Amino acid sequence: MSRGVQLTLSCALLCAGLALPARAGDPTVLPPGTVFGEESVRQPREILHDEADGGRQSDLVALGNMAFSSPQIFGDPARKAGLTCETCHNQGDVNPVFFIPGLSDRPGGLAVVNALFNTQTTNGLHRHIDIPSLRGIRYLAPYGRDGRIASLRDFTRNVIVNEFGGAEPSPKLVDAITAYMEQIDVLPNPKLKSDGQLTDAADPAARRGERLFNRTFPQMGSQSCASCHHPSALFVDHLQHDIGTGGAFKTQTLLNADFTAPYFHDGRYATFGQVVDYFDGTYKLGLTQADKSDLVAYLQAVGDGEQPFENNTPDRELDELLVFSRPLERAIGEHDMSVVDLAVGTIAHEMRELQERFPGPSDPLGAGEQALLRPARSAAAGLVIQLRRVQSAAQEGRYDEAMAALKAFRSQADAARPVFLAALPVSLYDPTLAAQHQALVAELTPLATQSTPPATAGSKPNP
Amino acid sequence: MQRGSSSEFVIGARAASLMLAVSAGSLLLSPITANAQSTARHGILLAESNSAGERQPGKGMDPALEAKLDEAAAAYKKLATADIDSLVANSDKMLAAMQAGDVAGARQAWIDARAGYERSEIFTIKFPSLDSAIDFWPNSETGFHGIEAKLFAPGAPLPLAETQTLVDKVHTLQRVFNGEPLYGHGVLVGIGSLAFELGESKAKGGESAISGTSLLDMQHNVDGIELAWNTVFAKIVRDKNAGVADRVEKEIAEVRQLVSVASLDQVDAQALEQKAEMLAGSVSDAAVELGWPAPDFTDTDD
Repeated sequence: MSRGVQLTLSCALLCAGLALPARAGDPTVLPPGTVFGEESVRQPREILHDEADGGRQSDLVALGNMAFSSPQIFGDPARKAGLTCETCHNQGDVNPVFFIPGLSDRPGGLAVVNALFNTQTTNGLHRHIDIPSLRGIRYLAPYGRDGRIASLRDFTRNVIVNEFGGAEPSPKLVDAITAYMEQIDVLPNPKLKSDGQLTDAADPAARRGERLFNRTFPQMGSQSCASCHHPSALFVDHLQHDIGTGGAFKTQTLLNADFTAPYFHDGRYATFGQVVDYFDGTYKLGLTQADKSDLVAYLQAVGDGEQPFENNTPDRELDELLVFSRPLERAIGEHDMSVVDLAVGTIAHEMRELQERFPGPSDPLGAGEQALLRPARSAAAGLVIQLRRVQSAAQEGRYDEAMAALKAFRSQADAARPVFLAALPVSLYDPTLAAQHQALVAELTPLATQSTPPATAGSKPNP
Repeated sequence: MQRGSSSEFVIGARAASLMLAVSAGSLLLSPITANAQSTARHGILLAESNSAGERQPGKGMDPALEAKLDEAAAAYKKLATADIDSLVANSDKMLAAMQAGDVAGARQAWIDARAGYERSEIFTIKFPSLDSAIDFWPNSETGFHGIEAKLFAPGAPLPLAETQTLVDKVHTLQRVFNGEPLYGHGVLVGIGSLAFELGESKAKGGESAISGTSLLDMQHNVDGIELAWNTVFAKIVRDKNAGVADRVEKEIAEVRQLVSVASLDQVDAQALEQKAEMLAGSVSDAAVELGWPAPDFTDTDD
């Protein structure tokens, strides 16, 4: 990394006592201006199928969920940068602010084949891919924007090994990550019946748009929008089509698409209006302005979902970390050190991130509230240290002690919960404080976000 | 690195110890609590020395053992004096170099002065207001890092006034340090806190990113941890529980190995996080072996 890069970053760090998110990417690995956006309180709502049915995440799903949040399954430098599946697929959805200068043409995606993450697969091309949502992914084969891989499991292994340079994962781990992703449901949409037709909850414009959506156009080979986006089949046809955007790409579902902008494989269009304009222009459909706005209203109705976002809370985080502790317990029992190390590393790091949401006394937002914040920080640190005790005991073959230490961790977590909740109103879990904090950080980082990334050798922009 | 002012430290320590007292089912105020409260009552929160957390005998603490630990802490203090002396001498040298317009000399003296300070972070939490003035981070207005921002930035005016202030503060630190005893418990909390802090410093680009000496900071932190452990605790903990002593020493060596690389970008942040946290846990285990309650290592509030 050049001196210039160090200067831009450290100015931001030194200008005030702000807690910067640790996993905004390791500044010595990723270029300045990298945005992971993980400090946001608001996050997509994730529905896991078995939980929604009143069950729980199986141990296999919990293992996959945990690995999904772990940089350790990737190779360097993705691992060192703290990148995880979850970074891009936030709560199984998308991450519209994700941006790595030099790798991303626009926020919300990146060229997944690149010289930074895996030199072996580098082809001298730069192809920005928009991050897809994983909601309903089990129904949406084939996989990849070009649909080149039929199996979600094979695709997942490819992402880990070839795109992000990870070591060959154990078959169980790939099973687990796949099982987790297969749990992610589409958000319910009261405007749609089970066959994909609009209900009475949809407004008249949307209903006019529905008729247009199903109307065949000679200019499109006597097909309709619905010919590929089958309303009764989650708005996909499991096929690839060349619609003039630079190759054949698979049909995307329109469900929950209100929350997955931008659109097309490379995220070239920010709005449904632009998408409709593209089809109108490309196929010379002769749509009127009213037609277009009706189609947009229809897409918005189909793309809607109940409670698309929710606020992250220490409660949710603790619950999740306790779920992650189940595969840890199983791994201790099975003396499976690779999973023990993976689980402890993941949970402990998330706990450090939780700790950082309780600002210290040098942070302007935390300075006056240390009576509440410090116990929360202290409890989180105690949990981190306790997890490392689990790991340390297991590594030395003292599995009974590791198990006892894990039990103690769970009790400690229960005791920490009210301490975290007491500090929540003065923490960065409070959306207003978090927004103020982000604004302060942004004010201090104009240099970092404006800096020009180093060009990738041989790269060329998308057509 | 110091990340906060003394008043907040004291209030926080009180809240934490209140929690401990409550969770132990006892309504008696611990010595720390009483100390912090009286400090607060007398309005001397910005006092240069704050011995909160220094002496905290556990219920089962053997007085003879504690005396032995305090004696060892005094021996450590003698060794640490060399680091403080080096801090002072190099700070003086930095000021003189700046006055002579010798930028290269001032930069080298800054780096040398920090070495002594970073090794001393075991006990600088004992002097919160001084630590805050000397090493507040991240903050470009005062102390080492305020000077760093100007001294290492090409073309910036030399920070003479800031350096004069720093020189005054390190001389005060030397005087106060020489006049104050170090206790075993304080040294142990210092070791654990510094270990825990090492686990997160890399992920943020290091403490001294402008001068490019963050890696040196980490190496000197490990020096400080090792010196304090070997001088105060190694033998006494080994006599109590050789397994715990082995673990602490193995983990110190592992942490050292992880920061013994050519440049900051070669530090494996996740491995360092793991080993540093394990070390903090083992140091906490050592405290329990010695009869102290499991200590609180949350002085790492950035």
